[in-house]
Amino acid sequence: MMRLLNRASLRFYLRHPWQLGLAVAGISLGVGVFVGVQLANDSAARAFDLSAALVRGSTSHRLVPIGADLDEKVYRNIVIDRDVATAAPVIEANVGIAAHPGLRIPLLGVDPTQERNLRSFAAFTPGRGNGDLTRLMTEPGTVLVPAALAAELGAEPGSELTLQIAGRETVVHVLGIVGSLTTDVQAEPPLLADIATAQELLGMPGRITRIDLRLTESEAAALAAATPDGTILVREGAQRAAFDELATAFRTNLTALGLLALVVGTFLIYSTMSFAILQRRATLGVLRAIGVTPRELLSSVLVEALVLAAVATGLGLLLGRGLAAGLVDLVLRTIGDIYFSSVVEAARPSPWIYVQGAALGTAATLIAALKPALDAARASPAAVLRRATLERQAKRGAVVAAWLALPLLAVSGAILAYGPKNLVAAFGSLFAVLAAGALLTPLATVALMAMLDRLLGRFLGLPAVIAVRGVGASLSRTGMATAALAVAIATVNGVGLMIGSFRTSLSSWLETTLTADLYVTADPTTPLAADSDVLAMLMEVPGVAGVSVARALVVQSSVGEIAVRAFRPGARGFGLTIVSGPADAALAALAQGRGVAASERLMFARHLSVGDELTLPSPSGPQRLPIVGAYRDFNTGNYAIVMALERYRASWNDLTITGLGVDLRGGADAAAVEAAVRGLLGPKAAVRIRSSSGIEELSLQVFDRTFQITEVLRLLAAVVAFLGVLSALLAIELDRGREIGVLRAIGFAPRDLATSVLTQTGLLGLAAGLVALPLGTALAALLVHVINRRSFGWSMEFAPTFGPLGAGLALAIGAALLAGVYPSWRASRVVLGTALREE
Amino acid sequence: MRLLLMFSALVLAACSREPASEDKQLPRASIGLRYLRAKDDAGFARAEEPRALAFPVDHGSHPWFRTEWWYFTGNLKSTDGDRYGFELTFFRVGLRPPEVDAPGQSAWRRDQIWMAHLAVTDATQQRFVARERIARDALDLAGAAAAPARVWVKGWSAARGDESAQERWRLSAGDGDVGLQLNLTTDDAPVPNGEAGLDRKGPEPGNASYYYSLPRLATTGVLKIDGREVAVEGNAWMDREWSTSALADDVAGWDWFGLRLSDGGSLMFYRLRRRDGTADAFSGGMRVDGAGRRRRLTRDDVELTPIAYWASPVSGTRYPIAWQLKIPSEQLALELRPYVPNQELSLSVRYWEGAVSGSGTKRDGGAMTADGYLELAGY
Repeated sequence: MMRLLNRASLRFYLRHPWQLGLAVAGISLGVGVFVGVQLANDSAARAFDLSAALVRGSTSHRLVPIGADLDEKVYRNIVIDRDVATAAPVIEANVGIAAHPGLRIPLLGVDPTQERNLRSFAAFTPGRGNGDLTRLMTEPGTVLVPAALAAELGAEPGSELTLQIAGRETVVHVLGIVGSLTTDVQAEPPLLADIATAQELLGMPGRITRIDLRLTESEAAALAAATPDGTILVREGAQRAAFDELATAFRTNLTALGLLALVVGTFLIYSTMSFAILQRRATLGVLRAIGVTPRELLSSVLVEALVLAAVATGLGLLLGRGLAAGLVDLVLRTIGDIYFSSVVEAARPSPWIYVQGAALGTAATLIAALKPALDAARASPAAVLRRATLERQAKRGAVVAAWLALPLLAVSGAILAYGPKNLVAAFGSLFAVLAAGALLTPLATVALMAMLDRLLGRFLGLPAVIAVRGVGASLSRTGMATAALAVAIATVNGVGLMIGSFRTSLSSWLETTLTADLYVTADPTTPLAADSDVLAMLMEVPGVAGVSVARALVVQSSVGEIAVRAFRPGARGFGLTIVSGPADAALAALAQGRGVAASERLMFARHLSVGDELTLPSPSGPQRLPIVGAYRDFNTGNYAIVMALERYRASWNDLTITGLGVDLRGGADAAAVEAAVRGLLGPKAAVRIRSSSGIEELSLQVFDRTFQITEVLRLLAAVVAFLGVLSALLAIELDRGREIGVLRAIGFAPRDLATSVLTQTGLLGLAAGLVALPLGTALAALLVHVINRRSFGWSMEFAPTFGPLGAGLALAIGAALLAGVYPSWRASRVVLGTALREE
Repeated sequence: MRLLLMFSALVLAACSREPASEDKQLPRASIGLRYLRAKDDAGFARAEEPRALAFPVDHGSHPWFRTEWWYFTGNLKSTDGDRYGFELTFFRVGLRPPEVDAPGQSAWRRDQIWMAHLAVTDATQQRFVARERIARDALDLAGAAAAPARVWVKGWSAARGDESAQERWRLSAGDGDVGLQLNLTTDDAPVPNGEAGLDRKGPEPGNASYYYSLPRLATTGVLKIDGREVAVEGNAWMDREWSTSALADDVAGWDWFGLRLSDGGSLMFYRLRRRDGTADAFSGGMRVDGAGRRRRLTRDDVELTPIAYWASPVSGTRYPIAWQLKIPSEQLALELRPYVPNQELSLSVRYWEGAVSGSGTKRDGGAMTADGYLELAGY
């Protein structure tokens, strides 16, 4: 009996190749987008992990200075007096490349003899490296260059390279090219030099940046209890927490977007599968009538779904592979742009993703096919044969579904209010809202059609009226397709609105934050010694109205590594958007040195609130500083705090600065002022001067680049939606063959029939598009207020605009109309006898 | 002989972690040897003719030679009679001949790299633990001093007590759950190996080392293994060698024996092993009898036959860890077995060096026993 059933399935699909194609397309697209995103994601994540791991090695802790750097004698103290077995001195600084203006790459100075148990640079492995370690250690000015950079600069062993270090140009000799350690992984090492060379190049004899250690927990505890003066012990990775948390959140977001594609894909599968069952209701009825048991019918439909799933998932995996090739560069660039300064190449992703994709695709297909299969099995033989029963059930189903949406919404709200405050819960809530939206769609469609009928019925021609009423009357066929379309369009809308809101917020934040007209910045490793004389002279420069001064540094605080900006504001104040209550009080306390302002990201990630104290190590002992306010910060680097410059100088005994903000008088010549500033600071000063408008422009450029990947995913969702609606509506209209035949028989002109078909698909698109408006807005609100906040700690203004919503509506209607073109053309050419004989 | 030649490989090998997969079939030492053979020794002194060894001055460093080591091994017993072995060695390799005016201003710009190995063997518990320290001679992290002689690598050291003729050494090293604090003394004078201390390793002039031994140093102190501290006493062997030497292309490695015999004398013999498995003509050694009479041994004076093997689960290398040793001219026959099969040091340089003991017969048919150390390199 099963063979008979399977043959019946096969015959059905052979006679309806469109049906087969559409079902396969739905699954393939969903799986493909999901797998593509996951592959790109994983590949990028691995590449960054490997890059970081290459420099980190198996370091467990770092001994870092409280001030700028460490006396190298501390290293002696650690390895001899404290007898730490694995300890490596490190010098790390960013240097410029003369042949590549604007590029700054890390220079890592190490003692190659101490690297064995910590890092595995290929260069230090016998038979693998391309450099001569003896020469690296004994010859001054020798370096090993990472392969990618060498290729770009045409550097080879024996050639020279001009570095820019602290404003000077220094020629170094390339001893070797450092490739990757293994062949399947492309992780770029930094520019490598012996520690002696690094000290000499950077002009810091006797000093090192830090000591990398590998300690057991008890060794770490013993060392932490009595660190050498001027140092603190930090756990490796702790200082990268800010980056890691951001990168993880970014990847979670991408995964969620990929899953969304699969959800939309699942709707399509459901719609095609249930439709395939509907079309065969006569056959199924006959089968039931001749004694096929419900169980046999059920398993027959599930086997059919499984075969479809296998084929379509396979295609989906191939599609995903192709997609990933394009996506991975985008993902890498995004993470690289914001979170890293170096460039990395993609790594080979985990093959498990394919397994995951195949499993998800198959599971989604089976779940989607379950209800149609149950319907097929459950119905009594007679009822199955009657179309009217079916439509009555569908209408009742629409009402039940709408009622089901309410508890779902309640669950979604409950997760947000009472669930764990993490990203997974947030996405859970988001998916619940989407599901509720999908459940509401059929009833909303019926309601919309009834309204159209009542309001416009008498102005419309008969073909249009038939189309309007036909939507409600064929809910069993149209309901799910409309819901799928609505979810897809809502996704497109939501993401679009979120990006728009974000960009608006960023733009206004930049305007508030950029208080000066010209910004002069120095690398924190090479600060400027700008005494009051220089500042006084700066004020004398024609066109200069005021000067603000900043010292940026990185410290190991009680809540991990944070970036400190000690700031003496100019006329326009601190430029902070206080988001934690009254701004005036907070800014006054900040100005008086009574505490620090902390970035929103820091507050969120470390669960801090105003009034909490941060402990910062300083040369004059630990400083306990209360948080007087939280400020908005869209920076993606370290967690940050701001304090008054005078407060900093009181405890850090450091009069150097790393940044100057220059206010210009109205009509001042910015270029002339810039030249004067450069003249004052001297030709040797390694500074970068940029205008506030330049910074703003650059920031928005980076933002747009950052969200390119999101835009691409949004586009992919739109494509899935488009193809989905195309396939579903095409199937529905093709199924109306008999109805069209009847209409033709009772005297409808071919043109009227075409109009009727087109109107109906257009109306379905309209219904989906309209449902997607509030649904998309709700989605955007969740993305802005919950997901972004939980991912990145950013708060922003939710500023919905009609642009993305209108585009979504147009997309829905456009896709629907396009889907109607072929059926309407077919309807207009229907041959009477054939059409009526069809069933 | 010992690790002298192989040690130059340190310059590269010490800095590395496990070689990547494609190098796995090659032992680390071979990689080093390949590198060593191509090495330019220009500017370094070479051991070309015998010279009078002067003590205690020659206990100090000879930086004009590329490589040098201070090698202490010993066979000890606890008061309960449990047998232990230890190895503490200090290796020096010159990156270049010493320069009066070092270029650059960095204190790290130095000429020498130092490596030290510490290993403790516990025969009763069948345990063996080996650790390593490496440093360059910057910031006094490692180095050698004369008058009185002292060598150290980070916190590990071997120091001579004073300038007197009596040899008194203090060894101190530790790493977590393993370590030693030992005092070594003897009234014997150092035994020059080879031709009055010049030990030839190949046909080329200068392909030789200066080499002397102190085979029997009375030793007391404390060993630590697996966190247990044990009071021990017994005898230790000190080996000293320096050279700017290269290894002949067809020599794959060596088997070195340093034994104290029950006649009160000692036996040092190294077999240079050629790639085809035969002993190289420059194999040799020194026999000191109970009365202190010395006799140089050449390749054909000693017959060596492996009688048991052990394969390392770490490296997969198969080592001949038990031997039959015969000196036909003395009618001496010994069967030597290790305290513990696994005495492989899997450090920057991988080799097997372990405590052994043996028994057999001598000329008059009486019994002869021995203890000492065996080194297997290039496997």
